[in-house]
Amino acid sequence: MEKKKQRSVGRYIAGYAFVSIRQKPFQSGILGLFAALMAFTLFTGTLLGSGMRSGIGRMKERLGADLMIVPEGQRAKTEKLLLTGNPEFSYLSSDLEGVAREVKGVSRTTSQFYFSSVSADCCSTRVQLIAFDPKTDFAILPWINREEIKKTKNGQVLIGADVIAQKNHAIKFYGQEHPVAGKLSPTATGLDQSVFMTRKTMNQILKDAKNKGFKFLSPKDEGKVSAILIKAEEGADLQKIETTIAKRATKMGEAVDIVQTQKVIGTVASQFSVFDKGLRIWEIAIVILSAVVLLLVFSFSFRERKKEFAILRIVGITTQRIRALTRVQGLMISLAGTLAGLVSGGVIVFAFWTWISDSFQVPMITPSILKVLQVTLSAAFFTVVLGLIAADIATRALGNAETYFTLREGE
Amino acid sequence: MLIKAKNLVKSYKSEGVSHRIVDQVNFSMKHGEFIIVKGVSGSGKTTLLNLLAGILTPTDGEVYFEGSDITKMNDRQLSQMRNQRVSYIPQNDTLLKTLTLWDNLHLPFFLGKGGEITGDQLDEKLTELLKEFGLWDRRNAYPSELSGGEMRRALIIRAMALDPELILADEPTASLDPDTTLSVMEKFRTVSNRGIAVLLVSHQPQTYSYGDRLYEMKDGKLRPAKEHR
Repeated sequence: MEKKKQRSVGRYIAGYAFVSIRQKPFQSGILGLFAALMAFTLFTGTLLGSGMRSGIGRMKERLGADLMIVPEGQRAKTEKLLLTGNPEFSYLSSDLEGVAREVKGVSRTTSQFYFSSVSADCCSTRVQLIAFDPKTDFAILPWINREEIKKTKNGQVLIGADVIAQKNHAIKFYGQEHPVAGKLSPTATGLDQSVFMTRKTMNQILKDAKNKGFKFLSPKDEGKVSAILIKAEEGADLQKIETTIAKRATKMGEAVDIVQTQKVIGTVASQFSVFDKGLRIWEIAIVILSAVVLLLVFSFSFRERKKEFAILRIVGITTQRIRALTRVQGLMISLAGTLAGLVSGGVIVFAFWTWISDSFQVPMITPSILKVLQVTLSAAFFTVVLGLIAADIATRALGNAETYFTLREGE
Repeated sequence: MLIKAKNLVKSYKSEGVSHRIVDQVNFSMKHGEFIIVKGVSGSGKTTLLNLLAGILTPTDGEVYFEGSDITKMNDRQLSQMRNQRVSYIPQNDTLLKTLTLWDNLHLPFFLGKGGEITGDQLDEKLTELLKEFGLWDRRNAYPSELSGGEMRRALIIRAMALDPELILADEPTASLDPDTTLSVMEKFRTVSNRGIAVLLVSHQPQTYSYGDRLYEMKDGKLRPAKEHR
């Protein structure tokens, strides 16, 4: 019987709170709107910030190299490569790698070769093809499972996160099938649409392309590389290394551009840092504004209901129960606002994810479902709790004035 | 003794001067009694009722309800007393405008302690009372749709719903026409006949004859009135 009454009481309280909300549509609307704004800001701000942060983190990891030697005139394109991962196809002598390795302050060197497949019957899909040297590579290894590389045999390939093919299946380039040895974790750059292989496999693909009539590579470019990546020793003077390599390359008759990767990353990172700071300030401002508005509107609304609360006291309702009523009302409004804020935030942030990433020139890692769930719950929890606290403070602010006076004030 | 006031004082300060609204009131009431307190406006009648209902704290003195000093009760105890044992009908319309009459009448049960009565028993009781007080057809009306007389009768029903031992009513017939006034007073008589004590304050002479005893409040002091019936 007691349980039955408790259920009825629960229904009555919920119904009462709902009626109170409906009674003041404008005030309830304002409260809901600011709860929604807060949930929206917290949700989108956290997701965007986190996506950008992990994107930049992944980019730093991925680069590994301190300097990149590229053919002359490719500087701008290389910077684009660093950000978007879309390689350009021009080549320089592979001998330069040996020369660079000898320069004082250079710790490691490795080379990469860029090529692409075509949208034709001969190929499964048009993707970037990147050959690297597993023995010397330090740029791709941090984000590739080493075991997968070790297991990769000639003819096999590793595919980027967005390339549509399954592990142990095959992908076709220029009429030849290449078994997929593994799939890489996402980088949020063009590298996710790239296919990776050893130089030996790449040479075979180049031969297959030639046999199919695609003459991408002029005979003078055979045996060349697209970029030489350099890892400097700890504390080495990068500018000095750059100057020395440039001099030696000129002596060799190679016209090159040398890009300091950290400068490029540094620009993006500082752009992001400004954006991130702005985002945080915006989030804090919205939270404070929403909290103040919630508190003010709840206070105003409850002040208008002084007579109602006095009537409740007269019929024997405890102040504790009245607080429970206002909390339920605060909860209902906050929940409705939170739901609206999260749904609209979700729709907007995911619909414009790529656009935002492109606009800020920052690779953004799409968050996992777990991360989205975590952010959703945190934003919802924060908004609802703040709504409840605002409702509670507003109720307490009515004070402990005697019921008789409250009734008269409310008249 | 159901309720007893001992040396009850309520004073307010206005412009630095203390005014005694209720001045050394000694008063007691038995179970089932119907007492009417008359007095002109500003004599302290309403303040006295508020002190007895525990919605106003006295400056001095005590109020005992069935032997317990209500001035020493905490919020929970006072609320429980008002919810189940002492019903107070204020002078103004105190039905919640957002709820229908039926929901208003359920308010003390659902939001208060509600006593031993079950929801079904309450529904049955309210149905009976609404029919008896001629408001059954108005149960789904909102307070703004009720007439003055209907409102007063509704407040009496709300006061009776949880079987209190005492009903305190402040000017329940004020601003009602003579016929409605008499009808409302008849209802209080019915309440009293059921064993519920009624303390009613009024300044309308036509109501005085309904009580078992008549008191007069003058300048904050309460005395038995000479005029009765």
